[in-house]
Amino acid sequence: MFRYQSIASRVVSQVLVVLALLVVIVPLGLVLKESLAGAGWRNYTEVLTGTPFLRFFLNSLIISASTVAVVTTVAMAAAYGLVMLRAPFGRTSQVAVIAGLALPAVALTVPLFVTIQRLGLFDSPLAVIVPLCALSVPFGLLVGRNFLAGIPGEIHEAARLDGAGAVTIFVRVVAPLARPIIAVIVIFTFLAAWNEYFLPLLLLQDSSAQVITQVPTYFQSERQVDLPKVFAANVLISLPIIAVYLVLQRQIRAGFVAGAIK
Amino acid sequence: MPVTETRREHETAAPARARPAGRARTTWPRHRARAAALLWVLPAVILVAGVVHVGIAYNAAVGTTEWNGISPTRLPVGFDNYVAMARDDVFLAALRNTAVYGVAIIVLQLSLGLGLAVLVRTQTRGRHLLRVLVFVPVVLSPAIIATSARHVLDHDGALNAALDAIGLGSLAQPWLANPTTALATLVAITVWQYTGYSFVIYDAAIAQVDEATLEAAQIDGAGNARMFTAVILPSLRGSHLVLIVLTAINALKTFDLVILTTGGGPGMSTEMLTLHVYEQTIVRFHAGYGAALSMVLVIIALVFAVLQVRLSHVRGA
Repeated sequence: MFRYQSIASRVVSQVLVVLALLVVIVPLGLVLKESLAGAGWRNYTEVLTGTPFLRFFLNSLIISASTVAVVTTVAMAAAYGLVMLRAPFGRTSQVAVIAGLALPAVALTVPLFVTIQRLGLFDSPLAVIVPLCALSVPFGLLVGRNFLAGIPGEIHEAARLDGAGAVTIFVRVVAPLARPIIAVIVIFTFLAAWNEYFLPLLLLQDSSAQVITQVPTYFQSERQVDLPKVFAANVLISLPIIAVYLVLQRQIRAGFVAGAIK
Repeated sequence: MPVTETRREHETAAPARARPAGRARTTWPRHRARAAALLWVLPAVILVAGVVHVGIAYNAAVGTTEWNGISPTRLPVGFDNYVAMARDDVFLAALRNTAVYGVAIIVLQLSLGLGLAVLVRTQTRGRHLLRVLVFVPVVLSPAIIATSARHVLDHDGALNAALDAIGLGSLAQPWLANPTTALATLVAITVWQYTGYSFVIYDAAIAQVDEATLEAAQIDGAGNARMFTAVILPSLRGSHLVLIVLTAINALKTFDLVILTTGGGPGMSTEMLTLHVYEQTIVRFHAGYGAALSMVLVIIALVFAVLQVRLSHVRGA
């Protein structure tokens, strides 16, 4: 785009690019450096073997995978019912669901705490999965609905005239067509669930039930703040996400764009 | 409105279905089919209504009582909790801080994101790397960034050590523990983490600008600055609006970063609405007041949800 720049502005641009790269990289590098302080790489092996780190990791995986599966299925099914099957009370249901779009989980502190206490569900992954799903479905329905509304109705009609039932059409026709938006819902929901801190803080108290975002606080309470290990844990938590991002970076960035403007 | 849009598309498709209605085997009786369609929508409605709507109704009910969250009895107090907010200095500070924080991150994330999106269009070395790396912090957990930042920005943390090393030791200070710098430091951490987000939105929008229009402008003798103001900038209005709403929602939701760095302090300098709800309900056992405070969050969130839906429709249409 800006192919023709004067020498001066070319120099300024280059300096700014280097500066921006440093601003991104230096803090990440500092964390890496701090994680190696004292015992060096032994900090990492100790975090992995001497603490319930892997347990936390597994709990996060269970919660995130369940949330993604439920949200994607429920939101796409609802979008299909609203847009292609023209479900009755469509407008009411849609407004009711999408009303939750911007709600912070913190706004449900009182009802969630009281309900989970009454049901005796503290420390159960379900205590976090259900509210996470409820708070993620509105976004899934909004983008899913907008996407399906853009698919010509004739495709659905043709499949129906061929005698296909609603379930068959959903699985064989709609889902493959909707793959780009399903990817968006999966990416958003997974990151939201994996990075969630508030719901586990409120509802998961036993260290066998806790998740990856609680690792740093676990370290601060269990031992007298062992800083290098906190940093080592932070690196270990971030690496899988950074690796996935670097492998799928184009798709993930495109997904974020689609999630914002679709 | 979103629904009328859908309807219109189906109205045009409807005759295609109405005609072959003679063949009963391939056409579903209309009312049975529509009732069955409801089953597809119900799980989403039940899930959201069961958690969000029931939860909000519960907040509204508990918000008119004095209750510790545990005892079997609640004392009805009418609107006293709401009246008390007007005199609650922490609440007022939280409201102000959330607004200041929100406006600051909107202004900075949008201008820096746009700046970077323009920068990667220049013929510079490292611009492709920048495009990839600037988004890395966006996918990381705010809880993890908060715990790292807390130690890096400590009075004997790595940032002050670095300032010392380059001879700027006089600037060194406990960034998060100083009431005059704490909120600004939280803004800086947030901007560092999420500028990559506004960057990708602007980057995608600029990629949509018609190459032919740009070339025509260039042939007409437009310089880079003129091309930016006359061709690129006017095409970004939709992106600004979407980013303003999404960033405002993020500001409203901010909790992890604050509770894991400053805990709202020092004093009330970084107190936020979310933090106040949590503190009142869980730490101080004021569930009645906490529920009333939650209703404030609910109302602001509803306004943002309406704005986001409006924008998504405008852009999607």
